[in-house]
Amino acid sequence: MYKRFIHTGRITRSPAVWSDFTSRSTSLGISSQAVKESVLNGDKLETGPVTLKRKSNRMKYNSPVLIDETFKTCYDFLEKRSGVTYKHANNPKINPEFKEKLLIKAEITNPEVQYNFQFNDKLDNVTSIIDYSLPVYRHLGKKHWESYKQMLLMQRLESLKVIPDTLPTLTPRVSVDIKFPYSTGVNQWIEPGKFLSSGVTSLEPIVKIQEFELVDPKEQLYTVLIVNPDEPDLINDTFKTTLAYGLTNLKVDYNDNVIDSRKFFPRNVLAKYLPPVPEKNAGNQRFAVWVLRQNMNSETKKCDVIDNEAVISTFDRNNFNIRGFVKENNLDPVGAHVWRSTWDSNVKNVRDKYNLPKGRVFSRVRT
Amino acid sequence: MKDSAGRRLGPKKYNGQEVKTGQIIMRQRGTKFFPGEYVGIGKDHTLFALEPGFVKYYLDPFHPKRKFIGVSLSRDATLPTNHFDPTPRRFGHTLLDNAKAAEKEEGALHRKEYLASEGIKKEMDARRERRTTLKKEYAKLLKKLKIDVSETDIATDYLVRLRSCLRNGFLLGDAQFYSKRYIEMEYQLRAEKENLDSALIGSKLEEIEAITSLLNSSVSFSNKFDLGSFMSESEKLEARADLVKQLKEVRSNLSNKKDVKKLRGLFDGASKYLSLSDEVHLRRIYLKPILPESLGGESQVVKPRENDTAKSKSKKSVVFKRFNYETSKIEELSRDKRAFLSKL
Repeated sequence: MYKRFIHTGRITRSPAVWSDFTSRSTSLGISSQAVKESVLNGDKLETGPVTLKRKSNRMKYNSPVLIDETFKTCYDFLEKRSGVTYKHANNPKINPEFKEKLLIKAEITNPEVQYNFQFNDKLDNVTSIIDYSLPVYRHLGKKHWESYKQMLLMQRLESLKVIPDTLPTLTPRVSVDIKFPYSTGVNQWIEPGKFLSSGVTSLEPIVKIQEFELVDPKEQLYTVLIVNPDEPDLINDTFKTTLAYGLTNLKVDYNDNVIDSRKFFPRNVLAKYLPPVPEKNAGNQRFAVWVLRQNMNSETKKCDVIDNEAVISTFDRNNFNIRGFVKENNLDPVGAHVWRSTWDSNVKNVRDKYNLPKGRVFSRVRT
Repeated sequence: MKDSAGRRLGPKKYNGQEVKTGQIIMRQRGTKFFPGEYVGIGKDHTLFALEPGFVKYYLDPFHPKRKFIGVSLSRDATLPTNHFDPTPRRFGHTLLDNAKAAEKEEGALHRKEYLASEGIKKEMDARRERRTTLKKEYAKLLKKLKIDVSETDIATDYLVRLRSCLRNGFLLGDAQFYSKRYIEMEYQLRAEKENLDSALIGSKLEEIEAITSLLNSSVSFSNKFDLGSFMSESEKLEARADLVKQLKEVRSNLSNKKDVKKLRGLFDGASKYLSLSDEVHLRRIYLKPILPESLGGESQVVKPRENDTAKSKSKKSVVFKRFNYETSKIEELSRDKRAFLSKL
């Protein structure tokens, strides 16, 4: 049906959809005028493409034969098609998921959008360039995340047995990143599975939750749990799970989505942060960060709020049953992250700082 | 034909039998049985226990054509464990309750760690030393700028942390917040440890807030991370516009070495109000060692006339040789001195 729209030729061409920024967001265009000119109109100038940094490279550059003319033809065709798609998407009767799909389709072939996404930071995105509240950037972001980071995360979660040791499994839908800016002032996103020293993890992390799906960011609430499934349980000669950090009822925007203490209040804190303090010879400890969506009531279109005060009394953070907690509170795991900690000589300072009892020492050899 | 003696193959432990770590469960040629949970396999395919437990012979639906031998940690557990259940694990280490032995064990380091530890300690001390000197400098500077903070220690701690945050590439707002939170959290933890009164804690936190907000509005870091008096965004823009104006003026009237010095001197305090990339950009434009030939005007490249004496040539202009691709000859060219920053 969609294809027939294009080929009938009866539809009059909407005037230059992609260059009209009166109703479209400016982040769908290239902000630098020179780069925009160069991307859209080719490099007729002697100086060569503006996007190349080095002058010698610019001078060396030869564009393929007739590329500018071909580009113009294709651009016009795609822009025309986009105009038709927009017209269709603006129909108030269609459902939101389909509208999202159409909006992606209308902009995905826009060279300016592709340029903005490919040549700019996708993680620490600047909203005026990559705006994840727009469906097309969310789509591109998702594809980019799936191409590497999502696979890396799943590989780490599976090989480190975070699944099924904490929760049975995970279908990742949001990108989760963590950073420890308070403890050391180091500005670095942590790769899943990395060994972190006790000094780095001595103060709480910040969590970035990047949604790619169509959710209602004004209503949707999230819970973040950091659990450690490797705490020695001497009585049963096995391990137990402890809750290192718990936050509930968090609201996350598509762009403004780094959860640090500016984003929540003491009432959102389910369990205050307790840093990793592994004991000598007790092995490595995995700290799994779970991001869970709280249940959206389909009738009222409101999200279920977790009553922290009531919930706190139902669990023991030193012997935490994460599966039970997730089931009781009707939570949906959508994203995860993991880091590893092991005993180091700084652990005793961290214990001292948090007023924790002296760490136990275990035999080096397993019996 | 001679037969070799029997190899004594076959199961050494049967289903449900208890095993210790390392005990052989099965001797076989090839993998008649595959190693399952907590079972290892030797180079001759001998299966042995990796954990003490109970031998289980089982089939796994993930590998329908294989037979497995596993060791379950409890007598009544069935294998294979459900795919989505947590793996049953045994801790295995014993608690060292002898205080002396425990202390010895805790102090024990691997060889590499032990060898590295001295260097690490030295580095840490050096870093601490640098931080203290920086703190002292900042305290002096605050006094000089007449910024009256109620507690210098908190203020200098904050500034040192803010500097490192900015160096690590945080945006200014984030850097300020994370530094403040760091000071707050450290204080809160100390207060909780010392069991301080909550009213006292509250007042201290307010003090930290007051000090940090005062510092945020009275001092700022340059792009080289040197501390100085505060400059607002509008002031910075104004200073930049002023600088550019001066640069243009001086650049267009260059005549001697003094002018070049003056031109360079204009950049002296510029790191206060220019971002690093902006400063580099402006330096590239206005301190260009050789002006581009395409500019024309006085800096044009000309062929020196033949009757010019060598002396007059060298006084006002610079003579140089260049290969001409069209005529395939080396030409002698001259150019006005003012096109070269270093030749003035």
